[in-house]
Amino acid sequence: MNEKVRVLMGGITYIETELIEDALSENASEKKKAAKSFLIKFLISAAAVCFIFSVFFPFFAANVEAVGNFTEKLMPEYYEYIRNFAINKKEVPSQDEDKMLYYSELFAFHDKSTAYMSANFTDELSPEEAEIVLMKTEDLLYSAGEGPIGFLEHLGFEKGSYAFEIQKGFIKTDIAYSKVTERLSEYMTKEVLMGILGEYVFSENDLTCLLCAKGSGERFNVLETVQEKNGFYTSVIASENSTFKVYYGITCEKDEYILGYYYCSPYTKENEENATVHEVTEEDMKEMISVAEIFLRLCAYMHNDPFSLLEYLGYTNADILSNETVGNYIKTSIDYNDFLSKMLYSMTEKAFRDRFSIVFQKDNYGKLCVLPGGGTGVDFISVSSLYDNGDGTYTVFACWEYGEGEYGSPLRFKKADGHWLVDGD
Amino acid sequence: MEDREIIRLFFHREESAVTQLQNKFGGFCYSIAKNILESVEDTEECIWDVYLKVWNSIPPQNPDNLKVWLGKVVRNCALNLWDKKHAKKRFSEAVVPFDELQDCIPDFTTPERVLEKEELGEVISRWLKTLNNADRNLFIRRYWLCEPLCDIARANNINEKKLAKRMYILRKNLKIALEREGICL
Repeated sequence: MNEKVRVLMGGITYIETELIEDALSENASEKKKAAKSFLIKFLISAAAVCFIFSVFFPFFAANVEAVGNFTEKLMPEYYEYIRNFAINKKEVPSQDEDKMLYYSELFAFHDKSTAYMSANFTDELSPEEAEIVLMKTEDLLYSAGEGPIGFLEHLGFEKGSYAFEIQKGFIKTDIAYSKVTERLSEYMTKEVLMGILGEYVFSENDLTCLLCAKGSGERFNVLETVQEKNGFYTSVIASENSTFKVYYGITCEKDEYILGYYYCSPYTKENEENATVHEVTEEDMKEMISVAEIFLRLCAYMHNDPFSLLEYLGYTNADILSNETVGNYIKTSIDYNDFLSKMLYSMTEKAFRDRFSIVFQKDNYGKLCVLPGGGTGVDFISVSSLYDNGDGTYTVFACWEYGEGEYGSPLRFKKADGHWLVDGD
Repeated sequence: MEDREIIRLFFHREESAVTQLQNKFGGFCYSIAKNILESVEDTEECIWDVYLKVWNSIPPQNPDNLKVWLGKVVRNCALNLWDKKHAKKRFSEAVVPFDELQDCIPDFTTPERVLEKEELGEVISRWLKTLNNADRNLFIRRYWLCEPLCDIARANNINEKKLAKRMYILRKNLKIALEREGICL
């Protein structure tokens, strides 16, 4: 820790008491919730492990043997806990909870137990019922990897029983959104599903179900450009001609190691599989860094204060200041399209394609509404993907956060005279 | 036991005050110290320093909020001990939250305003008040309580990577705020 950081740490010590009180009280209530959720999680993972053990014990035994002493000493103990907890309904002593969780992670049940965590799981659920949940969830996850139509079929929506329209980037069906969530609730909550498959697999749009899929519609789109699973991740940057540049690497603790990249045009599973991998050069790194820097700079402005972003974009106080409000928003005299084009112009095209944030909304008359910034519970998170619609327009999925919820919506843009404009809106 | 009652015991110089303090806030003190110092031995050394310091400070001090006041004492003791051990090169690695805070350091090469710790605390508090509750709590949990990122992510039910990104934005944001105030650390 250098001297300056030490001074800063010293300053942080003297943050106002009221602010710390608030954080501590929130912390305490979260811990209570976490303790409750841990018990549910443990119960579920225990039941899952029981099932897996009964079916796959020979396989596990082989793996466990490789861990040496674990088989002889810890495994029986773990199994005993699970048996007691899931079958005999005995509590796990609190001092052993961490150990149990560690064991369960060691056996790579972590993802599964997370999936079960929010399943319709009650204390009355028997190990047999837990088996069914396990199998259903696993099948569901596999089907999700196969594509939206297979996924819907798995949920009981047979092909032909619903109308759908394939669009680049997503499939729009006439299935009521509530029907999908109802069927999904047999497996897990939407949040858990999103946690596993990535965010924004679904979005609600006029009571129709909108499934977002990558490029060809073969896979679900994860609207985060960085996808991570089991320590591996990919980071996608789209290039000028709709060719997607996909970096891939591995995460090791807090470090990320970029292993290489490949191109996909369009971004399809087949192209991805057949792509030639390139080594990362210094120029590539500079490109990635510039994208990240621009993004972070804009994020910092947006997060801190929407007005500072407007100033950064070249608007004056006369443009911004207004006494007129719309709900919680302040209506400015700035033309929304003008703002958007400036916003996009200030970023590189790569940055725009890679990540884009909507901080502002427009009112019915096309004027810019500045959303309140810090302190009001409104945060904007820039997570998006851009698809070339092939007709000179692009669809962007912009996502934002409000309080504890996160929302997303597709927007269409076109490029004219070197500027990006909202299309048909 | 109520905080007021514990303080009353300190005022009456009753040794049970330390036991009561330990019973009620021992875990809280330990976790802050441990998050800063990492080593169990150093944490225990720090905690005894804290109790001694509390014994010597109350009276005359009479904190309104014992827990927060105690947290500040723990942070100061832990940071001082960290300095001491670090000076003797007994620590090989910097603690992660310290490393992260490097992002908040203003870029000034010449001093514009040098502040005392308390004043700096006020500036940071003002900045914290511009944030929403969630971000404010995240910052305090990470850099005041020094909680590990993974614990905060788990408690908030968010992806650790996403949280790290959010924390990075917060730190950059603090840097902008400090620079706006012309503060040099």
